[in-house]
Amino acid sequence: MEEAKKEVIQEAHLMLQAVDDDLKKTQPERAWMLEPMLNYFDVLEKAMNRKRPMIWHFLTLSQEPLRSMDAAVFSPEYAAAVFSILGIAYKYYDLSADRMPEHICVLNRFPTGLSLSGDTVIPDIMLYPAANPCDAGLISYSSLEQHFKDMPFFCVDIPPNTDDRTRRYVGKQLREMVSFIEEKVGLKMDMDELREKIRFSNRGLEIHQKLLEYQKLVPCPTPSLAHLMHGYTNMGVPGVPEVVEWFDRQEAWLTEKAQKGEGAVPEEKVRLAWIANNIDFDLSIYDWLETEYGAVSVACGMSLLNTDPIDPEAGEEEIFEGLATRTMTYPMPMFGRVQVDAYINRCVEIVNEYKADAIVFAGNVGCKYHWTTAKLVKDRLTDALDKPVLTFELSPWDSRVTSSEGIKAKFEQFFDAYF
Amino acid sequence: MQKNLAELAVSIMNPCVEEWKGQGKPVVGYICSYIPREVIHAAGILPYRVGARGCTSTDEADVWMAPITCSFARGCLEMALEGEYGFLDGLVSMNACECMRRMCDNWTHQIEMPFSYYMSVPYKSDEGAVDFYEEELHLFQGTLEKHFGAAITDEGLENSIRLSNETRRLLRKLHETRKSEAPSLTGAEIQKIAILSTAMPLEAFNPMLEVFLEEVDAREGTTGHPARLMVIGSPMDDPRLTEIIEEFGGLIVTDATCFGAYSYWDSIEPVGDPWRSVASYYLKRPGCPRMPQKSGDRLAYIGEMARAFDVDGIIFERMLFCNLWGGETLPLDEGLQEMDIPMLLLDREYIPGAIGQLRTRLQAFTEMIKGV
Repeated sequence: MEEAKKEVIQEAHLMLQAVDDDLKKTQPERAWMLEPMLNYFDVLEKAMNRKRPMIWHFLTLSQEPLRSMDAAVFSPEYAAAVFSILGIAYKYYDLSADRMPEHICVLNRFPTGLSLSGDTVIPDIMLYPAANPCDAGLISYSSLEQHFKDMPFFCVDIPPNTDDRTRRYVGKQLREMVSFIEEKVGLKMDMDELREKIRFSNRGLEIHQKLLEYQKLVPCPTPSLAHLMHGYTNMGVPGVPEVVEWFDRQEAWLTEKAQKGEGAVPEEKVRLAWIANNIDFDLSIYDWLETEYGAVSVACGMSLLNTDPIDPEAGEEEIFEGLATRTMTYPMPMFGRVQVDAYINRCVEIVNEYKADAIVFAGNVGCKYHWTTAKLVKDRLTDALDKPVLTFELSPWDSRVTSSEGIKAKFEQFFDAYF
Repeated sequence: MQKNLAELAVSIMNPCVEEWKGQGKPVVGYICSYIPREVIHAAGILPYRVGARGCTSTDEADVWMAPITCSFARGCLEMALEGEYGFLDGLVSMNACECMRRMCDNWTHQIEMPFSYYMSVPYKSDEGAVDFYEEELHLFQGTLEKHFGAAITDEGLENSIRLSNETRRLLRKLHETRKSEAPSLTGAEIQKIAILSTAMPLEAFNPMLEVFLEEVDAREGTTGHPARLMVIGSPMDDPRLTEIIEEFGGLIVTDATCFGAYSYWDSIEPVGDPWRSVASYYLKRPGCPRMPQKSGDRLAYIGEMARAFDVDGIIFERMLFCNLWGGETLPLDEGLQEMDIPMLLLDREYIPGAIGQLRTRLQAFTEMIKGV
């Protein structure tokens, strides 16, 4: 690892701790909210302090093998989401704009901006999937590969189908990725460690599945923000024991609420299903929806993970095929990597399963796969479900595209018209 | 027909396709350049590469695809919605770039196609990827055979490979004429002929091109162009932009585009099994940034081309809202600076607009590279 001019990862960690401290004082009922993000940075910083090799990986790649190698595991996309919550991501978006057009999603421009900023260590290796979910994810790393000529990069090939032969192929790719890391960075993967990480990630997903079932209840016991954090946590910090403990506490809390028939809000009036993106730069909008309109976000596409367990006792090949399945079925890939019919069918299932009253298509302007088919999706969902659909543009991580006020105005008009 | 070889490619339909259809033979459209036309041809079907040339507005397509998406993809959808592709008996698409693959979703939802196939194409080109793609080609074979009642034999595929390799050889020969200090063809003329090779039976195209090559030999070349230019970037299946560049900037003498030299610069090398040869060729040939980890190869190709064709400068035409070419800007910018090759970046929509501004930029670029 090369030393950085300053260490923005450390800065972000400190800021997050300060926000968390403040939250615990001002909203003790929300004390749980930032804990997994803090866990993420705790684990990362400890590994950095021990001078462990730094691995940057695109968010939708399986992390369990990386964590089993005792590396400093860092996903710029996860960090971008956290940085946007903290309001410190803009610098890196803007730095990247000198090198790539601004229509490219800021989440995907962030690794370029961050790596060129000198504000953090240059990693020992970068890993990314091909178009899982989008071209921007692919090109953001592929283009850096030419810039950092001496840095090893590995691309995990992920063709578009999710059938058995693709699963086998991607499983082999993930195994090759591990061998590549071993060869280029000198780390070693320990199968026992990997099995252990998988037990942890399985447990996180097992609880996640139980919590998703609660969200189908009327009223929904889970506050919108808790639902979002469940998804982000299992997607961003899988295989970490502290996170499993956090999920245990979430389970206890929400089980009690579910058993009492207690809703997320005193009077649940509208159940929202978000089928495109979320709003990360201003999480208070979810609270505003709940308090102003009794509108609970019962299903956020980005938090609906595939919770199928991987048998930790299985052979190596089977384990990697299981990891391949998870990689291919992360929420974003399930929306963007597939043909639109599969996406629409999944949206119909989501709306029905979670008994949603309205659909929110908050489409990231950077997600070309969304905006090439937004009307088709809306028409098909309207035909199939007879539910109102709110469609609007935003960047989930950049308030400059559509501001909080602009988003609220969209919701106000929508609720006035339909509820 | 011979005299109009270059003119046949300015619209979607052309007399050669009409004649083919008149004989009751099927035509299948394909998107994009990673689809092996040889496999379709070996089934007795005319493979036709879908494009948007001649498109003058995207009004209908814009209803379905937001204006913050690629205008080439919208142009293709527009042509389909306007019925320009009514002659197709099927459509083969793939996981190309996300705008094109979702354009196909729109297409097949609006227009019922008698045959539709979505091909799963790897993003890498190592032997594992070739294995995967070879298997995919056999799956495609089975579906194609079943629908069209055709049998694709190894021998038939080998014949199709020979035919398309001959097309590539002839196109390369045509392309090589531009090395001359006084080229006898414009970039637009050659572009039209290359496009035509994707839009008519090669059995007819190859002899026509051979005759044309003889005519070219007899032509007198022209000199005095302000600059010798190379075009790289997004799909160019419409000569309008090329004509504008050549009117105001200089002569285009080579390119790195998917309807252009990328499609014929390499040939399919026989490696025994023709299916494997095809799979290997389509993954390993020079291609667009859809294929990761190949920026270095692309730069090397561009550098070699620029040297071989004595290029003064490069026009990087980048379709607005194309993530792939947009992201490729970083390595291109840095790579071409290292090679000391001047580059003009043109962000553009598929249908050329703002011609005045374009002219000024092209003229300024030409003056800059020639040190005027």
